[in-house]
Amino acid sequence: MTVVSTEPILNKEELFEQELLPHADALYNFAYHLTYNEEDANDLVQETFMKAFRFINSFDAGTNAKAWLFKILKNGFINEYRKKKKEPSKVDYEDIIAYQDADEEKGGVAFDLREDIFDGMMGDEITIALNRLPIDFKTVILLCDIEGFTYEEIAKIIDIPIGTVRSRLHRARNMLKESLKEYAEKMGYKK
Amino acid sequence: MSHRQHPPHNCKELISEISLLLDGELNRHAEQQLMDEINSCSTCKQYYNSHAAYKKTVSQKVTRMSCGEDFKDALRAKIRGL
Repeated sequence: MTVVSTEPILNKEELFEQELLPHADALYNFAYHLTYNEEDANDLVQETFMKAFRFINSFDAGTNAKAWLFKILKNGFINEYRKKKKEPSKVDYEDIIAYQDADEEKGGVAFDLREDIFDGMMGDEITIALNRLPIDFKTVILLCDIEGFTYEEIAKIIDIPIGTVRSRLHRARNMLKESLKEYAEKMGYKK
Repeated sequence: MSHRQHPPHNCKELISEISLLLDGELNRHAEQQLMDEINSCSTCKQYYNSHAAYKKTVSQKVTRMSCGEDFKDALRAKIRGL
């Protein structure tokens, strides 16, 4: 028996409008935090949508359009912006190891942060601390803590194994918490 | 998650699982099992509360940028021109 879909068949423009465009603000937010520049973020988001529209026939309606767009944007960012700025394409692994060792010695910085310290923090300080993180660490926090992607989706978006998503998130969060802890201490919060 | 039923409580091991819990990566049964263990240890409970506060703060307080309706209209016009 042939199963006939009751879903209306959308043309390319309708698919773009209904499935892709609703993610424009989230994509722009991601692009802005990656580039820290409104003009670069505009260009990156525009290129992402143009690329997505060109390849819209390869997109299955009803599947995860947001993750698909984020992957296109991430690839565009790596290919264009990071190449232009001659930044390293990967995290410096010596830095990671050095950080990991320091983190282990401290037994994890997160223990030191009382929950009420977060309540008293201003958004600007948290945003500045986040934007100061190395790009690969900032990326996993943006995808997980801001956009709510699953580890599996993040692994696909940035082409790393799920185990690496977990360890990178752990290190990224500890780096951010360390920075917020320093700020909290400067503002007079006591442990 | 059955491996945690018998070994003695290990805060370090549990703390790595608290991230999974708060990131929504565990099924309901594993969540409940982990919450029971967290609630039985003040150190783990403190970490749980701190990490939950971190998640809430970052998701709510980091500045969210928006591209605006004019930008979306420009995108619509561009794809119509392709």
